Amino acid sequence: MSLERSRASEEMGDYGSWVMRWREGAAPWLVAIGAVGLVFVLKLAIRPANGEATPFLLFISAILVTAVLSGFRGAAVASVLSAVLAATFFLDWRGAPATSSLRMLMFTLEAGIVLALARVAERALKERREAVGQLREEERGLWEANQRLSKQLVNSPLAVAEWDSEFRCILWGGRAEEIFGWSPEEMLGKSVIETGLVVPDDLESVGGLMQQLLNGQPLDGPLVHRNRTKDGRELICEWYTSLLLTEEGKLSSILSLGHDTTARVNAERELAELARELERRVEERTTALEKLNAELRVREEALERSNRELENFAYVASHDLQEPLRMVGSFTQLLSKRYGAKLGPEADEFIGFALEGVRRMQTLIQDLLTFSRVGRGDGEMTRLELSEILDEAISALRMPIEERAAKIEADPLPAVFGRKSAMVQLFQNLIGNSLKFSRERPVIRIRVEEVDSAFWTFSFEDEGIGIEPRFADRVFAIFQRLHTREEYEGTGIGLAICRKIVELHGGRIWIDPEYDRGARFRFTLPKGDTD
Amino acid sequence: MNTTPAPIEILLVEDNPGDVRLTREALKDAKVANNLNVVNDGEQALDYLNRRGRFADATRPDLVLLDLNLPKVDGREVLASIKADSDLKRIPVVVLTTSSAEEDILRSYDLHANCYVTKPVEFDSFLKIVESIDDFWLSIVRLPKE
Repeated sequence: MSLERSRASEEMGDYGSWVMRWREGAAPWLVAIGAVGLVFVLKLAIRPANGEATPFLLFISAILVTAVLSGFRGAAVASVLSAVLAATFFLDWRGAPATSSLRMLMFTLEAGIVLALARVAERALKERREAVGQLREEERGLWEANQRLSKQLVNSPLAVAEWDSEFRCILWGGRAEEIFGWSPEEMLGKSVIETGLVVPDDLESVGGLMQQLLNGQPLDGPLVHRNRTKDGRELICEWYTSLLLTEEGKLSSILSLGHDTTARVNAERELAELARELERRVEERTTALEKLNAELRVREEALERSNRELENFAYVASHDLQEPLRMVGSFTQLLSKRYGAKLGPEADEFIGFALEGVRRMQTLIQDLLTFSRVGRGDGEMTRLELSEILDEAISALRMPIEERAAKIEADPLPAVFGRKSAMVQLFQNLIGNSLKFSRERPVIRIRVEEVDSAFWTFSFEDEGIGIEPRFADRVFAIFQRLHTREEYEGTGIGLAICRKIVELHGGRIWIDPEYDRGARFRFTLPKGDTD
Repeated sequence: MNTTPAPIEILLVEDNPGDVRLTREALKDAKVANNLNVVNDGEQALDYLNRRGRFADATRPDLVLLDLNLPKVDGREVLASIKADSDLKRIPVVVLTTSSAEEDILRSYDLHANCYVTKPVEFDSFLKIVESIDDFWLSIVRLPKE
């Protein structure tokens, strides 16, 4: 475009002639002394053949030369020098003073004119020089701005298009060809509609905005629409438009910078789709969870109800079972009392078995009742010092402990939250169990560990007969016995009660399978906030 | 004073004929002469104590043996009525329970019987209870009557 012009003006910068450069170089007074000295020597050399006016003419020419070469200041120095020299060497003040004075006056006048001229010329020259310098500065700025802009356009990652006032393409650059496939030759001079650059469906919506641009009104934001490429693909582009105006403010052209946002828009669309999908899934999952929760609640309630019913059942059943049992037991005994002698010796034996059965049944029912009552109406959960609980359990077991000469060694025990009677029963049952299945002089050790931050883990270990690992779970079931009644008495309720108590308190109980010197029961209890 | 004291009047409130029979058998061997009156439910018991309806001529019992599980009005309510009545509350009440658990429940109602007895499985034990009622009675008669 205007690149050539700029360069031309640069060359024009050499306008300052050799005179100017020369003047800038040498000092004016040197030039003045040189010129005046030269004419002085010349005058001396040609002395015999000269008129009265010759020295003055020579001096004037020296002043003139100095004025041309180094301006007003040089000329002034040359004038003074010439005046002094002329007055000293070439005027005969004795002969005709009047003529000499006149000559001197003339000379001074001529020098003054030369000086004035030099002054005027120098002023004009200076102004001219300043004007040119300013112009050059401006042009340089313009040129740089222009270059910056055009380089940016050319190297821009955008499609650059410029349209005239009828929306015909007058510039097609940047990455336009790369993005849309059309070369500048194919585009230049064609109107937007002719080029087929805008997807026909979008023409209507874009048309209004194009008209707005043509009316000289800038757009609020980028123009977003679909563009068609030369090979028929559809792109989604953002166009940033600027109005280029003439000095008079009329629309000169419209510059559009286009950006292919297809990938971004598609990515955004996909992202939005993904987000929706995610949201949908979360919702789905939430609904499923809620459903599951509701089901769980229903089941929990059912379980709770069934547990309650079971406890009630066990309680009522054991209760109502006692009544007929009492009848059987009491009347069998009454029978034996009244008629034993008449029935013969066998009858006593039979009655004995019957009564034995009744007693055992009675015990089972009692145990069942005890089991069903664990945790029922057992009082509030309170802070329990387990060392006190242990003391109570030991004192309840005083008899068997003394009989077996048992020793109980316990770690210092912590405090927990629990129901007192249940906790005493737990300790009592575990110690009682160890006593029952131990040889003489048993040692029962009670240890406590802090396995994790929420639970205490207790161990009750003995050196008794132990429990085979394969029975480790069975011992906690109600009425499960590992031995015949002849070997060890009992109904098999004690450990079942232990498990119920531990579980009611939020812990669990198990048998340590690694321990082989007897039995080691371990159970956990939540620490709770017992401070 | 009579040389043979009048037999003590016992009211047994019991719906189980087996228990009625056992009590009767056991009381036969008691040291204290007694007269056992039996009603089979709580409603009858209250009528008897208040001498209502067919029990208008009933003798005021000296001792009540009260089973807890009764048809119609159950033992708890009978006990509560007796203890709420300023006249009747002086009559000693022995509550017969099937299990010690029942006793706990009764206590939780804050109703105070004079004595709780768990019905035993064997007749021999039953006899022992009657003996203790004997002793109990003998201690009662020493107290000034009304």
